[in-house]
Amino acid sequence: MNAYAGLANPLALAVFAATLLLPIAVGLWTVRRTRSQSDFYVGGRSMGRFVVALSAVSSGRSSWLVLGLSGMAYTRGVGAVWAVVGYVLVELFQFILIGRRLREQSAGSAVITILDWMEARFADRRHVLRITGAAIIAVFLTAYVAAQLNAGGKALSAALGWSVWTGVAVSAVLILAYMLLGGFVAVAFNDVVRAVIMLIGLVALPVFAIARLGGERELLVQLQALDPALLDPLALGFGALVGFVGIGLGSPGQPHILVRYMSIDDPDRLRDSAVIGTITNVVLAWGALHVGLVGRALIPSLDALPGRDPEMVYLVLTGELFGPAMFGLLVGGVFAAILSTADSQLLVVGSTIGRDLYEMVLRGGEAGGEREMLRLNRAVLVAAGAVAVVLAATAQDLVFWLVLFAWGGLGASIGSVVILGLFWPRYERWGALASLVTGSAVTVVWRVWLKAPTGVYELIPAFGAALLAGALTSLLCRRRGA
Amino acid sequence: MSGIMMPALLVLVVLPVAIIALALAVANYGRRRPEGRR
Repeated sequence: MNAYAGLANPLALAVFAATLLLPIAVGLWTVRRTRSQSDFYVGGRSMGRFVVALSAVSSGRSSWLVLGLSGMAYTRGVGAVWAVVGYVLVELFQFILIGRRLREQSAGSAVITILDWMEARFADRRHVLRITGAAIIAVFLTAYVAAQLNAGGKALSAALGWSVWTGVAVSAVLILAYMLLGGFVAVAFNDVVRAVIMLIGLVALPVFAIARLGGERELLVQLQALDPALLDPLALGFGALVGFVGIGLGSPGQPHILVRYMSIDDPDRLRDSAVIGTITNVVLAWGALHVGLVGRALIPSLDALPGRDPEMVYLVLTGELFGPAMFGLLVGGVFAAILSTADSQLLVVGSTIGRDLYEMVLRGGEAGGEREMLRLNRAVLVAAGAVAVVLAATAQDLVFWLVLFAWGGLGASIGSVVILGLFWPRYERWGALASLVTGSAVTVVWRVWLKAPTGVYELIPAFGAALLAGALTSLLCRRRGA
Repeated sequence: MSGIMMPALLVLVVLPVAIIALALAVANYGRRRPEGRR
């Protein structure tokens, strides 16, 4: 049983291929807008509110949203809602509070990465924060990109019968093609295209499926008949509920999301982006939840899903409810989710190596003209992409081990520095270093040794420890200085 | 409708609408009005 079997239809395959190739056309369209390093990494700070909103949302949502969340709702019922409430609310306030301040403080031409902001904010002339932050971002985000490419490769392999190696390489080529042409602008516009594809899938599928069942009330009646616990939002227990909501704490530390706020033309427009982004986040999340719930009602037996895998419910429902054209489009939605995250993360890896480490640390900020830097940054992107491909195809265990810490590690370390750095004037350089180190270290230690016995999601203690370490170190240093 | 369905309806239907309403309220809080309008 193959969930992608519908792609054997030529029309479905053609529509699916179009969703994969359309972004390259978008890249060609954006190539003229990329003339400087600032254009390449932050869209020349000229992006509109819709693009920033949809780009921030689709960069943050991987295939976890389409496949993982719907699978979780299939298994756990309405309790899966807590996995989305945290990040939807955090990202709402993030647009308005963090995004606006970050954009205002990065108005100068020298600030085009999150580490540029950090160095300027803490007057860190010795690059201590830039080097530490770059190490954290490079390790976690490269692993993240590799994991996304691995997911894309496996899905392409299942869909088209290719080897996983070919699938991984094709996924990388599909994003590098337009990234090299249009940099951030191409990535951001493609995020919009992919957000629309995801929206079509996660609206059309649950609406059609619920209509077939006879309405939302009938959905609940059928779920209750299957297992009343599926209707209980608190069935998963307090610890799991806090852990689910705590996922949201990771958002302020994801550099590929933060850089979207820095790219807007006018910081005040982030208010509009907050509304557009929140509506998009809500529609996508509740759409995916409903896919899982209605999937459970229509296909109650796991045996009817390929590999008895609940994460296949989106694909199986799509095959059962729609004709070939919609099937091709909605399968394209899975890849849209994967690739819109991979390209945004790969671009940040590129900027961390090309801009932060090479230009600012090794060359002391004087690496050459804009044309030379653009050439260099494109070469760095190809090299980073090649490393991610090799990791994705050959070191799957290492990649998945690193990814376990990625969301929490970035959230606790970068996130705590961003929040304290923007809102607490007394926070200073050594405090920021303490937050970076503590956030990463506690995430790893908690995940490996303490998560199983305590049942607490590592990001929550790591985030608290990073805030505390940063605040105490700052106060101590100030006292000594005084 | 049975009592067991109410919490499910709250989180599936009312909660998303409430979050969007919150987004509208937060985004408009403190927004500068155009000149000449009160």
